Amino acid sequence: MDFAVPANSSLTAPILVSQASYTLAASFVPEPAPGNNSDTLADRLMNLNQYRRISNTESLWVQHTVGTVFASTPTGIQWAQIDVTGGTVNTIPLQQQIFNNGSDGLNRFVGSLAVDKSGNAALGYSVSSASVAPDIRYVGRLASDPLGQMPRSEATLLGGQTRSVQTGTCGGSACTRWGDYSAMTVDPADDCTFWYTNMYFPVQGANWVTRIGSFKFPSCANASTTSLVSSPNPSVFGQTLTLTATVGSSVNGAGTPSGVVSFTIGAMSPLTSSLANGIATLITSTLPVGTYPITATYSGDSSFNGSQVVLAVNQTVNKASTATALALSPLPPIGSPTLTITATVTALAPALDAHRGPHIHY
Amino acid sequence: MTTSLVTLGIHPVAAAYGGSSNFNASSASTQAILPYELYLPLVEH
Repeated sequence: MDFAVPANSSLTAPILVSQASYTLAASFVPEPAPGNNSDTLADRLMNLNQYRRISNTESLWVQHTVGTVFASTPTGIQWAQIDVTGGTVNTIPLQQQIFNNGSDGLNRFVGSLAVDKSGNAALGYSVSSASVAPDIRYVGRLASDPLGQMPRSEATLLGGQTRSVQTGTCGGSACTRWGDYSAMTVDPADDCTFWYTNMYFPVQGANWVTRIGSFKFPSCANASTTSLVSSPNPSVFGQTLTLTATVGSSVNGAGTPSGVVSFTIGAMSPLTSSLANGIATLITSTLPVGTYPITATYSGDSSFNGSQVVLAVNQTVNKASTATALALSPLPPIGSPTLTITATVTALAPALDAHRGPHIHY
Repeated sequence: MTTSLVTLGIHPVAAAYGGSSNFNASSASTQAILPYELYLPLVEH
């Protein structure tokens, strides 16, 4: 596709991709009486083809409503990840599954699927049976989960809500459309949070309402970057040394990391400092003379993964300069046995004045 | 403690700090002008 010069674009013939065998789903699934049946819309893909590129692997994620392998009910969602290599769609899915929650007898239909930036997938759909009022549920898989499974337990978006059924007529016949425009999407702000929108009936009738919910996998977080500066370097014993760790993200609009940074100086025990506007500082003036590798470790928060950096140049603490001053007491009277000579040794700036050498009196 | 006899006259006085693990050495010098002899105990603390 050449968007600059559309005439250069071309479309190739459809590529046939294999899929596991299934039985066409029932066209309609029941609600508890007196609810109307719901249209499964199983003869078409009701959700946009989802394109994702994770670590340079391009994939298409698709799903539709199907029956089981041998029966038209209970209906479930057949989903698949189809990789794209060098612009060519693979003809065999990387993974696929007919998800019906272990064939628990409930019908799942009109699904939608999205994938976060970590490659974790969430699949939403409507659920109903002759005894279970239509529900909005979702299930998921982590990128690290075994292929072909949605092992993250099914959850409802209607916890605590009263659910009822659809009744009434539309254009002279029973209203059967259900969730045609439901959608699972990923929030572009963090590329982790899923937003799922679907319909339900809080009371019996023809007035459906919209339910919008969000959730995310804890393992999906933005990468953070940590940089570390020590100043001054080199320093001298007793001089105030400031370590500044700056934690940020390369993801625009991802926000500012919070939490704590742990500073490890040489073999000493780590010292922590809280982030304020993405910056953590540690001030010390007690480092003995020596050379120290320094590491700053950000432990992450709910939105950002941790990160670590080692100071590019080891911190060097040199000896502090001193000055020695001599003072003679006034001459004692003749016959006195003492004359006081005082030598005062003082640390020179930038070492702190608190660090003084010995005072010697003669 | 030691004692020493210091004769009258002009005497150079020098102090040298030898430094430590965290401090560099430094020194200083001056003159003591004594119009008479002194017996000085030497005390370091």
